[in-house]
Amino acid sequence: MVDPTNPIVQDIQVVVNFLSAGVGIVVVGVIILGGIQYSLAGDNPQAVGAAKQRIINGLIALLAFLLTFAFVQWLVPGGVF
Amino acid sequence: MILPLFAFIKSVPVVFAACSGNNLFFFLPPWYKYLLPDKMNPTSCSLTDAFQFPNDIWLIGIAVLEMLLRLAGLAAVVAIIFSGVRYMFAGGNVEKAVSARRALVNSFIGLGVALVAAGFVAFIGNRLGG
Repeated sequence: MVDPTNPIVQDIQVVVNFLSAGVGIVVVGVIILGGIQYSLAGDNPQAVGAAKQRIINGLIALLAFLLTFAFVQWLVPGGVF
Repeated sequence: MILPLFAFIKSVPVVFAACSGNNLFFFLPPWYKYLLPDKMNPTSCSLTDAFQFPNDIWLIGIAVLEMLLRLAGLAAVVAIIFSGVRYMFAGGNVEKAVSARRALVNSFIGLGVALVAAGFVAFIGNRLGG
């Protein structure tokens, strides 16, 4: 287990807590934006494709965050949490 | 003549305080809706005591999410009405009918995507937050 009084670990914990609280909110915001785009696309296939791409990009961002979180967890000996 | 009929208004306590968080602008909630120190019974509009710097930013984010969700509902309703009118006026023209039907399906899909995204996060948050 990492010494919790280590200042670097404390900074990492502040940043990781902040980001992991926000990633869900941001990703859901992007997906809702994609839904609005989808609703307003009408029968235009290009607009539908743009909306789908936005939704997929939001999901990719969530996946990237999870991978980065796992990487930090692996990198810090004993884990951040 | 009319005025005495409304005299009871003075005796009714003011339910809609300035900072209740329910005072909608058109149909959007205020951005500070989730920041209020006492959400049930706000006494003032001061947010300085309640706001803690890094993590309370996401409370504003949740308010923005609620605005986006309401916008998504509005957009879907407008799109459904619009494509429904197009469907009605398509007449016997098959191409127009197919186009309008596709637009209708797309507007339902968009509404479903927005609702599922919001509901999924609410579900996860409830399971994690207890």
